[in-house]
Amino acid sequence: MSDSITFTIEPDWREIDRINNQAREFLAQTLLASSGVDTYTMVLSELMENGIKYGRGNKPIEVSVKVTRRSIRIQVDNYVDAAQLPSLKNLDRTLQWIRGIQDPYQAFLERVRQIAREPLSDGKSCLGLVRIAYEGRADLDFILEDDRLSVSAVASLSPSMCVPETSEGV
Amino acid sequence: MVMAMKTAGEFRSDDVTAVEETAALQGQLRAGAQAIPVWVRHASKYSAAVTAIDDSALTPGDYDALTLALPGDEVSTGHCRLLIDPSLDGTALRLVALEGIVDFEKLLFSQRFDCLDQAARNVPLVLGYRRNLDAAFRDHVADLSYDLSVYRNLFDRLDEEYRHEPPAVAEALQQGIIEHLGPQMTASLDAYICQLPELTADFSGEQHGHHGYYLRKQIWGALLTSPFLARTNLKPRGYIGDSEMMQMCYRHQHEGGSTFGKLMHFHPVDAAAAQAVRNRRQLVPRLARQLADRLALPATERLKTLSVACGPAMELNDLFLSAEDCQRFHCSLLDQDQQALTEATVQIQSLEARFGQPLSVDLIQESVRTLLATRVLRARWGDFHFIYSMGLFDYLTPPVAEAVLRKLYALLLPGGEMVIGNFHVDNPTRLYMDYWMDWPLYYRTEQEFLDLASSLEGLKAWIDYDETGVQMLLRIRKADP
Repeated sequence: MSDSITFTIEPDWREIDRINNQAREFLAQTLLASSGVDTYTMVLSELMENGIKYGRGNKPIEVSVKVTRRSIRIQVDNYVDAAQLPSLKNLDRTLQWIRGIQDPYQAFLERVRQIAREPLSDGKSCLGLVRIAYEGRADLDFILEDDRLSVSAVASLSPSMCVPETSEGV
Repeated sequence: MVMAMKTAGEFRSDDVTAVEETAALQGQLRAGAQAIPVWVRHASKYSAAVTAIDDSALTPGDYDALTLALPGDEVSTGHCRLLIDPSLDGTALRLVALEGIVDFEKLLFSQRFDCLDQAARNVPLVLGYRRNLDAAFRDHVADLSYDLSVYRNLFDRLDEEYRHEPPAVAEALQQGIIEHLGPQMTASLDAYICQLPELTADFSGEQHGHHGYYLRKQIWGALLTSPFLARTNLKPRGYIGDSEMMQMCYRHQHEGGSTFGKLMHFHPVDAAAAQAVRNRRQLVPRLARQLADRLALPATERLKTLSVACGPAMELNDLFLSAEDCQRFHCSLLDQDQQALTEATVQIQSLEARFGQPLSVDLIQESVRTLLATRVLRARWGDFHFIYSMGLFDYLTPPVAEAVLRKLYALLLPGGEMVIGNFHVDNPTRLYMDYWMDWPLYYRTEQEFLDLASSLEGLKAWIDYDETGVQMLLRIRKADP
């Protein structure tokens, strides 16, 4: 069994709370147990905030979530302009660095240490993304296709993240 | 407050030249209830010259703190000491922060408060890693650490014995030791790595990371003696699997500064995964040549190949086997890393020197994640008969892997072929890579690999393997029009 949802949000910071609540409600209806709902609401929220921060002007942001017993996949698509390319190259380096470390918590500690020593702008710290990796145990990745940026988080779900098998179909 | 000392205001006239180009901060030196207003200026990276603002004499000794006003923030050094230093001008004393190692150059010139020992703040968290460890795993690591220490002492002592021999003798002796005593250590390493599947069978993803970190910390010194293991752990280019790591796999030699280090280095580059890397280097040119034979292009037309994430492109040595091949193939090499492209250039120049003629090669520095739109790619590079990518998809999640594959497929000519590599989920070196090398990959099953191509049209897709079975190949042939 799988649950999926796709929706569009406006690139407006005021939307975040409403969307978070909506996302939490959706996740609560899936196979996820409450700890999983909390974790992946955070992941979704970080990715949506990222989309609003880097998205182009008034273009809508597309969000999709797919949950199965084995994995969860969250993807946020938004449009970017050429001025964002340096940020994306930085994002590329950061994601490769995060993904090149077996223990995401180690990456998180290292990133916190770097930020403490060399204060970085929000755009460079990518701390939210590191948090997704270590709290959500999710593999983050992105791709730019024309001017459409897709950032995705894919995580394997342990049994403790899901409601017991007998409750399936809630 | 930060000010550039352009006026001599609060300073004696003979100080002005020395401080004219030096930033100074105003602060307060605190001792109990007493707060002395001071000027703080550069003395060295980790010390500052301090003078009282009212020009009165300061007393050397310990103070509770130096507090400084930065834009929007006030910072404090904590416990600090004033030292008499005759090399400083006038009434200035040298201040050293004792509670944290404060970088005064950053503070004065960039207005950033940085303690060299920030990492110490993470120590309780890192120490906490000891907790919640599986007891059997902890025993395993303790035994491993002990054995590595025994072998290291043994080989280091032997190295010391023959250190003063003539170089040729020392080299021969070391080879003898590696040949006759090395297998014992290698067998011991093999035995430990063989225990990992059983020890970690029930671990969650989080536990794998946690225990892997613990293991590496415990044997860190031994890991660093191996150039290969040091590199996989330290990742000097900021990402895993760089071209130098590939070169080390290709060289397949005992490298390192000591006998112990050489044995530690050779063990992973002799593992199944490294053999798979060597195998694919020969496999790709063979497939390219087979395709060239099948397509039977006219003599005037070269087989156009594109290598994505090309690394050092060592496979070109097996593609260009004769002077005729220089007219037969055109290669486009794409990598995000300029250093990898530089290493590829060395291969190309070496082949050009061997065959006495130029090769037809394009170098493209680009990341697949920010690759240009397909229409721009085609306009810039054209289409290709043969597209291959060996060390890339192991790092891409399904959504990105699908998108990259789609983009590359659009650049494939009808009748052309693609060969994409991905390590198989049953890679026997997997836990060795995860736990010892800190080298996580995105492993795939055959079906997961084939699924990446499921949205593409007009193709035949199938899976192949190298001889080890570790390197899985997704092979795609685009239908003729």
